[in-house]
Amino acid sequence: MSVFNNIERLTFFRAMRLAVLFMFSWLLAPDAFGVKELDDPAQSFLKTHCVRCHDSEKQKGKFRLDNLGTDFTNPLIAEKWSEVRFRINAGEMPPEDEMQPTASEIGKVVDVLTRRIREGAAERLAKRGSLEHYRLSRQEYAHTIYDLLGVVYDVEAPGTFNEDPRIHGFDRIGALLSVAPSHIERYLEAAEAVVTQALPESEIPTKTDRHLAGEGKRRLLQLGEGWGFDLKHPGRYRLRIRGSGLPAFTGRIPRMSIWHRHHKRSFDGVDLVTSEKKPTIIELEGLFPAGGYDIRNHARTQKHANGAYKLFRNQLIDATNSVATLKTKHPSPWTKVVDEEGRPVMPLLLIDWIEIEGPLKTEADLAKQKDLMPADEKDPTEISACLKRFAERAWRRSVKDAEIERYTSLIVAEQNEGESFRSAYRSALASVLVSRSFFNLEEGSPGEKRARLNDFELASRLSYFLWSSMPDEPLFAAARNGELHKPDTLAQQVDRMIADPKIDRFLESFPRQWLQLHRVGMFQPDPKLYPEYDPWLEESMVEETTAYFAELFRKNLLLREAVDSNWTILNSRLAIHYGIPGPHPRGLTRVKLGAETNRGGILTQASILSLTSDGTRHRPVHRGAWVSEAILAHTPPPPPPNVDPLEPIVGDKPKTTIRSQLEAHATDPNCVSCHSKIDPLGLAFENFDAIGRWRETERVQGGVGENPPVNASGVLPDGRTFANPAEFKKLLAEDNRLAEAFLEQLATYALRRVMTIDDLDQLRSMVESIKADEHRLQSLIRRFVLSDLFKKR
Amino acid sequence: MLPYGMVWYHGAPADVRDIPPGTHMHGRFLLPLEGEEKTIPLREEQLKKNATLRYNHAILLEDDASFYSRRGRSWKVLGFEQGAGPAPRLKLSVEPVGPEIEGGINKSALFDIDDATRVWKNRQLVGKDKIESGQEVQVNLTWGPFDSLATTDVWLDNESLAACREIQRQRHLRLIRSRFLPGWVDAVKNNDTGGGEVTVTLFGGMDPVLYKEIKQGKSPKVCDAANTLRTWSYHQEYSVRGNTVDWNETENPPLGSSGFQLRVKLPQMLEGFRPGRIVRLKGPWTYVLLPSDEWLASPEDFELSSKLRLP
Repeated sequence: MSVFNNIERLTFFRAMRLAVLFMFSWLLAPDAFGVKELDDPAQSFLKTHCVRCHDSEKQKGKFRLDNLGTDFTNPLIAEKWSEVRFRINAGEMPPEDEMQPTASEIGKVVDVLTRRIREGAAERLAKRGSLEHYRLSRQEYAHTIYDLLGVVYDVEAPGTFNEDPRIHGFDRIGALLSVAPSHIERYLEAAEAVVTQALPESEIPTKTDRHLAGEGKRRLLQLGEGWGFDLKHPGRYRLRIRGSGLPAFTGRIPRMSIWHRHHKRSFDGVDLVTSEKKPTIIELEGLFPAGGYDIRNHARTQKHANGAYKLFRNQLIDATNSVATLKTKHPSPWTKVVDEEGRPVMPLLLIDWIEIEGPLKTEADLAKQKDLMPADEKDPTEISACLKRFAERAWRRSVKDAEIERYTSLIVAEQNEGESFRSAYRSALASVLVSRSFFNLEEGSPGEKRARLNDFELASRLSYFLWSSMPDEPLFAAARNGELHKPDTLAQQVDRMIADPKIDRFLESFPRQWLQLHRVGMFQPDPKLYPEYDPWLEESMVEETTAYFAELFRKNLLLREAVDSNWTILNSRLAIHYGIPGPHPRGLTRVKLGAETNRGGILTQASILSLTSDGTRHRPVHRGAWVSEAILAHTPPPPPPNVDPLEPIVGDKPKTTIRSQLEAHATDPNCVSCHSKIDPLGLAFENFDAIGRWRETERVQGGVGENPPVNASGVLPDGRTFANPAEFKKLLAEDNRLAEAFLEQLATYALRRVMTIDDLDQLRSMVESIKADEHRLQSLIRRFVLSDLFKKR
Repeated sequence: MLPYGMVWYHGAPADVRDIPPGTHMHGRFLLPLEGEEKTIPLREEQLKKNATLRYNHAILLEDDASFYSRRGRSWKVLGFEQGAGPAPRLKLSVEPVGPEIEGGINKSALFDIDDATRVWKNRQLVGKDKIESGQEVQVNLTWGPFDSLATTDVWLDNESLAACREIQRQRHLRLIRSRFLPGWVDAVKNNDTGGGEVTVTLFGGMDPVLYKEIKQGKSPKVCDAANTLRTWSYHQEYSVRGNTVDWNETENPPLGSSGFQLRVKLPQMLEGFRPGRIVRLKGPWTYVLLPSDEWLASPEDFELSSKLRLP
């Protein structure tokens, strides 16, 4: 018993000694923990202002900083640091009765903590296991289905796929695109619909339907009015429309748009100017989802949401009558379409008929479905081989026979249940499309630590980068041959892909995501304040930016022209919006800009200027944050909580600019530190209102006196000054960070993940290895594809 | 009646429909509007007798109470006189008090008075026995036998006339607030997206509060109207709400004009918003569904109302 007691006692004393030693280790070497690991401004700040109260001894608020780790990849630790940053940024810490840091000191420590938190988050988001899945965005899914089977699947239709989550505008970041059971259910429904379209019970015949306005009649459509037709099946259609487009007395051109009533957007359109007496036939061909459409005189409808009795001109008129006669001598319920001289007071469309031909099957579409069914449905080998061919294309990799067995078994089982072979085979095809290998990009191999992509994975990365879709046969062939990773082969493939029409998907999708163009129109401008704003303008804004990017790409222009140039791509609607004198171009046209237009470069395009505004006014801080995030790839720290909003100017107070209000607002040192970095980037565009129109004075609601003049000058954090938007753009164009930031955004898009510090180092060295005057768009993209980073997992 | 013609009854603004048939009125008349010469066809022999018959479009109509009281005139009762002859009638003998008025009766007069005459005192109807010599009164007249004038109303005190005036004023306010305030389109500026601006001079002869309400409301609804001032169907629904961007006032405007001109910016122009046409403006007033016989609902309605000159 005593022996046992002695052992117990010994153990107790040893434990006590260890405990004391442990306690002393905290007391003696607090620097061994977190704070020391931080960069110096933060370290000294925390030591001076924080650790004294949040150490092992005082532990104020039961919170210790002295031992808080600095592994920011650990979400629990990152969250605690985020709380620390929040308290400092909000001015809650240090408390009022303690020595107060300066605004500059606060700014520095917040910057350091923000950077470290983001780096940790990026590493977490970029963390890769032995096998990683990157789910396709819904747009990529639609493109892949079309390229695989020649079938149009409407991913935006109700009950199909939800909008994909975005991070900084990108909707293809793997870490965000999780797969929930509800996704599988929708993938299943989608797969069944797609396979049924590809292998229908009976072929949907190609028909030509002509809808006449009426014998001897024409349909008059005033602005905002449309004439409807329906497409029962999705697919490729050819629309032929005979009509006239009469410009308004000012020269404003009508836009005839093919408007999807449910999706509330145009799927095609044309600027139409033809004589009333000589109508023209417009032919449009493309892929259209099913649903109700309008041939629309594109503009904001004037119809009141609650319905009003005013009769907007959407009427049949005698073909022999000129619209100039559409004046009545008596009161009428109609809106006015011609002035006293008989000239249209707005752009008018006169439609005679519409002819719908489709769904069409092109040879390319038919080729995709050609070997879908086995030639001999009784031959199991043939069935298996046929399924394997399909799965290899769908899964974008080589497929083992064993993987196909479950699908051949499914066919047998379904047939045993009484299904026809065709039906059973369709189930097998649909099952292939519900496989995770289809709706994900797979990189890596289970149980294998592999740093580089194999050739199939590389083929997919490349094709989803440049085509937003699966590889085509030459790309597969290069992967099968094991040649793709070789620089020469890769370069050849990139050249080929760039020359392919499918590159349009990249030219459309990348600028939309990079520049966050999904935000255009998110806050619809108040019609009372901005009656000029309409859906055609909104579409034109986005088209200008994507077409501008496409021009930069196709002509392989210098990247600096993205922010500063003397040209743009305009249509007539934007030319009016920008105040550029006519005659205006029909359709998107490259236009040379004089300095007096105050345009040139993406930053002064209406899309960017409006996406950074809300429905009532421009928002300089948001504009600054956008420039920082999209153009310089640096997301500013979040604002502190409970910031008082700007008060509207009421009563007899003098009118004052938003800038003046912000400057008066930002006297709090906690605000100044960040705003001094963000605001100049946005205030440079004070000459542009909430929908991107040039102005010299700012229209202020409320208050008394004249509208105040705007001030677009500023000082960048590095001390460089600018007096107006043009000077600011020049400074930005010369900035070395432009190319680095662009490559970072490009890599985020291509690699489908947030860049880590290691990645950024590689990108930086890539940029440094090219002379600034060779930072051309295509060249940068080629260089990036051929880089080591692009081939890495 | 011209579309911008003004009517006064009991000393307050009125609509033609407020005037009982047979009421003795004072008026000013102009030549017909261009294109409307055939509205009241005149024979050559008539014109030979009286060339002023050409002036057959009224721009101002007033009953006696309005005509005289607005010009500071009243009647002093001298007493009653029993008439003689084939149609003997009791007569109220009066003499004018106040300034001489062009077109008015500027000398002593005898007006028929009988039990059909309403006599007002202390805001009440009283018997004619309350009329005493020496009282200063206002009268409204109608046509009597031969060339005489008969009294329809005699107001023995200002309070009674003021009460009738207020009732008429309120009646007219109710009418205009439900039918909207008419005006003349002076100018139109179309923009090229369907909207534009109309410059409107509001018709005169209304109570000032109506102009004030339009001015202060700042966002009138505008609908188009015929020369008869009739509007289309549910006039509120077939109108467009605009914003007043300019308001001008002219002193001593000509007859028919209020002197108030406003420029209204509209998101959508209606067919009738053309220079020279008539519009009606709705201020911040409660909507009233009009009787359908006041609407225009078709071009045929318009033709018919133009011919009949229906209000």
